[in-house]
Amino acid sequence: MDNLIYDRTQADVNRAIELNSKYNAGTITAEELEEWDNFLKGAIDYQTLNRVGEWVEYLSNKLNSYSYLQTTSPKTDWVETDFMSVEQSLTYLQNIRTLMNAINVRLTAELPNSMNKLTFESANAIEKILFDLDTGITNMEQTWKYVGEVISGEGYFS
Amino acid sequence: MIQDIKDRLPTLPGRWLVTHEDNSTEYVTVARADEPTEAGTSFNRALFSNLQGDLYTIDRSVTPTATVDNGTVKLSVDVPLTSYETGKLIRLRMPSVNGTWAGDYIPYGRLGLEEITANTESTTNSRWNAIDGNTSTYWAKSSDVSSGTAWIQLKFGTAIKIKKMKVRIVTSGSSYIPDGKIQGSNDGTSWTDLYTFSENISTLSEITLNNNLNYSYYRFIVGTGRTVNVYELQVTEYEGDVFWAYNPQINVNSLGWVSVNGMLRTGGDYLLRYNGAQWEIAQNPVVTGTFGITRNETITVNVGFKPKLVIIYSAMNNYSGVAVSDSSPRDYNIPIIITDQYSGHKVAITSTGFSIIESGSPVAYTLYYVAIGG
Repeated sequence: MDNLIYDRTQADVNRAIELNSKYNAGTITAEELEEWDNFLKGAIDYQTLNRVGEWVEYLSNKLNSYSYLQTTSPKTDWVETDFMSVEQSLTYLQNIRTLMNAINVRLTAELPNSMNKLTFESANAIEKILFDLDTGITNMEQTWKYVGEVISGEGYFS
Repeated sequence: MIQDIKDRLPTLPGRWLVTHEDNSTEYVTVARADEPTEAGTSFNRALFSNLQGDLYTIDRSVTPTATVDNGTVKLSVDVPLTSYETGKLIRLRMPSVNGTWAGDYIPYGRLGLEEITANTESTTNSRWNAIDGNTSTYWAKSSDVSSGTAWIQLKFGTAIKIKKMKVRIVTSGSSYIPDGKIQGSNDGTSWTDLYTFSENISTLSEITLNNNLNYSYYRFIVGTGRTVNVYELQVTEYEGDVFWAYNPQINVNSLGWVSVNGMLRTGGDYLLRYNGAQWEIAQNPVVTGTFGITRNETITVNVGFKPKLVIIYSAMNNYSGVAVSDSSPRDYNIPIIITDQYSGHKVAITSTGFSIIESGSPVAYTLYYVAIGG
């Protein structure tokens, strides 16, 4: 899976707007076109949606394997020509909300209520929450004791 | 008792506070470096959940989606299993189910009726006759009441929107009841007219109320000293929360829609088991135990859930051990019965059990209890 992105800035958004304008005006250079075509940090595109969907799927499966039972329905096959429907946007956020409700890890961002007029801060928040969930689960795994290590009635220092 | 297992969730894993012999302290972070040849089985939620035996615990955040399909409650439960095995338990927390309900004589228990009162009733024709489902029995005002209004009132635990009723209401003789009304209120003081009668309804017939609001109180009222017999007040259509889902259906992944053999109350916590044909209610928690109590002592007993019914009693034929009445424990063997509808001033249901205050006997003694959930 690709790394989560949660450090977008206004400068990234400005760059995306600039390249979009140049593309529409036909003044974009070859080098800029490659940047525009492959990865725009300041824009939400199908790659963003697939990345979030893959992380939701990964975390959901992991939580289920640890008996934090929940069900999500992430979409991971967005293509460039797709448009997100209102219903899909609600599912997109509900998937993350479901994971947030499944386990009580410390979160450092707030999930937006809607994908309507999504800001770069909200886009960061969505992926930061997924990062926090993954961190919390990893922290939990690191503290588990194992069969054969624990003796009843004695202290244990790992 | 089935436990909800939780893993520890550290924000700083591996961090320990070390206290040296000189009582100075320091924080250290310790990481495993033991290069195991076998990863080992970890003590975690998944392990203990499985050890509890055939229990698939639906996480509390996963609430069944409730819908109403032609009068049948359907509970869609997303259990992340590829297949469900017959006989295994599922813990189900019933959600609220709001919708429009229609049908002949919706039971008042289902509507959450708390109280039926009347400002007058005859000794032989009580208010209860108006809601007993029997169109031959009736509520009548007391013969002592010759003037003024007469009313019979229903109070519900949660405000609902009654839309249709079947009624049989008859005055003595052939005179009609032009000022008889059905009204709604949310405080029992301010009333809104929902239906005005213009004639007798001598056979059970359905009327439609002019009602777009939820009310906790509904009443039939008639004025000017008229003699009127209310044979039946039945609700046949309403909107609101369903307190009891009668034989709902549950969809658990591979099984599809299957009916539940029983009734589920909204907000209730149930263990269900599929027997090959239906879901059955496998268990309502029942906990028994004892506790000691002495004079002027307050005892809180934790049974792990909020019980619906608690019975407290003493050992039989044990003078020093008997006690209890609600006013204060005394030397007679009368069990105390506590429900979530009734709490006395010495006993009460709590969110995890019950409490009792002793204030009488000079000796210490043992009491027994049965706490029933569901």
